[in-house]
Amino acid sequence: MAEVKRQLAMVLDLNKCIGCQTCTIACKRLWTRDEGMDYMWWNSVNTKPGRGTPRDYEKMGGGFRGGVAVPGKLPTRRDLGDAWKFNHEEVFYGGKADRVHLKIVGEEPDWGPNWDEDQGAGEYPNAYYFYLPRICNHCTNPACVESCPRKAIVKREEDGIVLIDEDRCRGYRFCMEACPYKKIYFNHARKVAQKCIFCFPRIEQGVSPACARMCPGRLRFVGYRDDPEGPIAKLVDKWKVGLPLHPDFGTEPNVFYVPPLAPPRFDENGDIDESKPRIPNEYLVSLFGPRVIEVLEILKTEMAKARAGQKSELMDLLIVYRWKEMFGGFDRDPATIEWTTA
Amino acid sequence: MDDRLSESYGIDRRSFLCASAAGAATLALGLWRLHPASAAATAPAVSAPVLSYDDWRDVYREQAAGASTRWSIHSAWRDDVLMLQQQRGQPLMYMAPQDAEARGIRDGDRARAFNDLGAFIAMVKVAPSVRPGQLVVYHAWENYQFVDGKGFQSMIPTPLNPVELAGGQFHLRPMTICMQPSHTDRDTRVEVMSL
Repeated sequence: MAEVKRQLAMVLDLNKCIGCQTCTIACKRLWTRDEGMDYMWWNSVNTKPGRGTPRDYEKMGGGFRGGVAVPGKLPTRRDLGDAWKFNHEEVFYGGKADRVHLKIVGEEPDWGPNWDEDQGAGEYPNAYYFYLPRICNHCTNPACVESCPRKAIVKREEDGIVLIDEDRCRGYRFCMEACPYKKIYFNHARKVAQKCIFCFPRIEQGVSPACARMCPGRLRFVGYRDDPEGPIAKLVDKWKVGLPLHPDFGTEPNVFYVPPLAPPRFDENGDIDESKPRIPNEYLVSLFGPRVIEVLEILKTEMAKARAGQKSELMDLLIVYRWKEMFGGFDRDPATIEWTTA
Repeated sequence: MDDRLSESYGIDRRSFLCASAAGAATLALGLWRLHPASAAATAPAVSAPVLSYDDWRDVYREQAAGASTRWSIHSAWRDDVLMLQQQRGQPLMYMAPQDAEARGIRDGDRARAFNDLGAFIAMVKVAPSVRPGQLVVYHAWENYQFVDGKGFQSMIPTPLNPVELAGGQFHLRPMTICMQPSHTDRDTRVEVMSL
């Protein structure tokens, strides 16, 4: 267990995620455009129920059970969806008119970073799905840190961000087997492991991570866990509506989720049927642990209060009337930074 | 046909011809409906009258529905590499599992959707949230993303809005991007067959 002075954390309200992938693209454009990074998506948004990225990662092991490390499988580039190339040049400038069309160059894929988008589960008209954005969880009990024989991964004392030292890394990839969320990627060109850095260069300038700041849904809260005025402490510790993903993986993640309420079911006559939830409880419990049912009730109670005209601090927090308050103090505009080369 | 239109409506022939071949076919059909008298003399070769909607319902059992994208702003960024990687890299049509199974189509198979007016080929995404009897095609795929440049719009029977042919007004004029429907509402029925 890593000892830190403070811990940065994120809370994602899954009731607001529309799966637009703005966070995914923000991170991609900012951090993973270099050599060897083409297939990396440090932030990914997948449809749940769904196999996720990498494909079936929840069954790949890693993490801890009963305090003991669980052996993990290495995700392949194919599992992660590869990085398709397209024939834009040929279509636009090849002079072949309709004889050529835009398509993926090379082998036909059967998986991608978001292949099973919008499929979900259930039966019409009661099919269901929601979107789950994921980054490195910067865990309090990080399996990756423990797994590295060169101690090339460290958890920063000052804010709990977990970082890979690319100079110490020799590309053994034990960390990739150890991470149960499979959020570490191998750079085949540079032969080092890489992952989400919680935008620490931005954090150090008072700017929130790009995925959070760019989100048009205003669903990603950022802040120190111990800041009583910040959104994290309020959502996770005071209201307790922020839950970790797969607490059963044993790594104590610091990215939390407000679980999704679902629309009601319809019965055979097309009438609303509230006797059963649309998203099965067991499914949500398998993702977020047993407290998720209670959390959904808290959300519903507070929504009802707000509808009746009463004050609800929880609803005020989740609605985000003032966007800057989402970021726990990291609300600086990155355009105000003057970067100089050292 | 082009000269007749230029005379009647005084429109610029160049901008008229900018519409895709598929769009022009739709346009011709629509105009044929509007001007039956002159159609006999100069209509393009259409071998049989278009079936009525009620006739279509028995033959073409999938009702096509358009949907607005969240991966693009209309066709801007529809062919962006990063956004294409967040889908399947190609035009998709969403089908209900029952409909796909009845046609021997599995998720990820390519299929042809067709009716009297046209056909296109796309990959099928089988999705439980799609209503049986419905085919959802998110809009704004560029024609150059389809085999033979034949896109989804070629099957939409909605005729051109004649207002778009008015001449001499800045705000009412034929424009390249306005010559084709981008979504279908409820007027398009198709059948889908595995390739």
